[in-house]
Amino acid sequence: MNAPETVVRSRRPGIVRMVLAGLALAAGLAPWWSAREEGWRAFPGFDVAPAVEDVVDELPIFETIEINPGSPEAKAHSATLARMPDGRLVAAWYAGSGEGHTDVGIFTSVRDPRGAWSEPRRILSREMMFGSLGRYALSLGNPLLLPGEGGKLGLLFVSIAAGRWSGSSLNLAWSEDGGETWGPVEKLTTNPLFNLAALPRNPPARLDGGGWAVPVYEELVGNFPEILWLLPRNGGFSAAVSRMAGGLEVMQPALVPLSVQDAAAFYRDVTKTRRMFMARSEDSGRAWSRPEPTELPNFHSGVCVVRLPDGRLLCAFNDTTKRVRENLRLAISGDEGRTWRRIATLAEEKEQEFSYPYMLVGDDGWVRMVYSSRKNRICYVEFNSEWLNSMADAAQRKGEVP
Amino acid sequence: MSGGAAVWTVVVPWLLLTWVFLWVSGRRGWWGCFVCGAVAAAVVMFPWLGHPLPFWTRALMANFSVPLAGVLVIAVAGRVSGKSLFTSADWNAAWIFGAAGAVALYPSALGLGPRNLDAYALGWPWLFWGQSFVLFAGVAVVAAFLLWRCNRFGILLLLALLGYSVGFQESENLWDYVLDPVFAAAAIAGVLRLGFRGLFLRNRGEAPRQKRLS
Repeated sequence: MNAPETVVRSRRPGIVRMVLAGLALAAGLAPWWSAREEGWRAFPGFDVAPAVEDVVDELPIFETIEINPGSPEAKAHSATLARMPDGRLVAAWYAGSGEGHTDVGIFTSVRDPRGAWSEPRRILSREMMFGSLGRYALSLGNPLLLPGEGGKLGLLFVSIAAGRWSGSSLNLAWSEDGGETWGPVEKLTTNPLFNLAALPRNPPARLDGGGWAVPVYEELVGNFPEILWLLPRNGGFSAAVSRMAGGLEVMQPALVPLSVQDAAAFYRDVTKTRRMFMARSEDSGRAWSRPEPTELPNFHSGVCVVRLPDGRLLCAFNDTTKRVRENLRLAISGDEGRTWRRIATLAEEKEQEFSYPYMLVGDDGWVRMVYSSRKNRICYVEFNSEWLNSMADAAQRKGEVP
Repeated sequence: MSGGAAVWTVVVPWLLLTWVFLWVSGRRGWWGCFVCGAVAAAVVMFPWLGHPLPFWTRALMANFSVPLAGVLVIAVAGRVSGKSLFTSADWNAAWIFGAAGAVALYPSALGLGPRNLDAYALGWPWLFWGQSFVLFAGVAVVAAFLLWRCNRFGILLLLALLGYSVGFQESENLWDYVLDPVFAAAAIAGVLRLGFRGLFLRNRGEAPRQKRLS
């Protein structure tokens, strides 16, 4: 009689163990398996228009204006721009008494189709975030606008938990009415170490089938670039990041889709090379080549690169290898960023700062741009392809920057 | 932040403070646990500069891992009952898993190590679906192996995997369910303690013994 009892006693734990082990395997593999369809669609390619030979405008046009003249804030920086389907432009930037200060807020201004910019409006402060996120934020910074379908507009920005930029993490809010009102703020988890320290800077790339690839960068121990993938999922967007390069070399990527599969990235240098860096991807941003220095100078300053409708690349950058940002120039490349030719100076003044250019290119060939000027001004610039071509021709004739 | 995530970010700091107060005061038993738990609850809910403690802790830590919560429950329960629910083998498994995970994850997340190694990205199965099999299957196999060996840390890993399926945290990354910096720091300390103890006993000519921890 003892033998069967012994068997029963020894089998019961065995069955429990087997069930638990099987449950663990199922619990681990089920979410992975259920993500297979999304996984196959994860890198759908970039939504990029094919190059067009000639976009004709009648006259060269170049205009510039300050969006926030008379701004009382001592610091206004890191501007972003989005073009809405109705033709309006929305600009956003952060401003306050200084970087990382508690009074910093996110401001927006809207340009109507007639060309007038509205009075800047504070749309977000750290106190406004407290309720949405249920947590403390020391300061805000680096907004980035994500234009969606039907007037929907996303606002990606950082909140600083402690310290300076290395204490920042990403947040996302949506507006259904083109930036007039904003929904609750959502925290994005992009790093396992206290969710530090991702920041956006340069324009996002639209993905085929919806969603965005947003170039971001980490600034905690290493400085390295990443892509924030905002992918349509479960009726909303899921955020995930993938690395573009290792630490301690480059940051603030400018992502330039060249075709559905091909893309180039241009980086702010954090080494002693003092050159703008560049990398390539041939699989829709999944893997990137090692960053290599280009011929354009860079001393720890942000660059912006966009693809023009004719396939050339346009770069806005601080043309110096010194620790100053006293000029802002444009350069153009006809070979996907391998070589560059300077074509125009947008701003230049001793002991002043012109930085953080952010450009958009319309289907009409117009380039629209915002940048930080003199520490607390946001400048808007727009020019057409005729102006760009005339400057390029002049630069080629004279052999110098106009 | 969902309701579940909000509650989680209140419960785990409360557990952590309860354990700290029990450990510092040296109290044991139900009464001691009740007193320390009540004090910890008061500290968690007290409006520090106008806001309860989770308002401040969430700024840096909004995704406490399931193993951290689990080992805190085990530690507090051990103080209450005087008997640990974990054997030394269970604790060793917890510390070794946490330390190995920390070594695999955190250097990569800081941009260190090989350029193309992005361990954290594997925690989103819809991003690098093929490669993320390594992480999901790896955690599942470790949990299954531990459960098969009657190691109770396997239960915590199983709960972490089930928690990920439910998606109760703010993060959508599997890593944040199985590991966090607090658990990783405790695990590394635990592994170092194990190593020193083994070295010390070997020098004395004694073999390390399996010992129940209270």
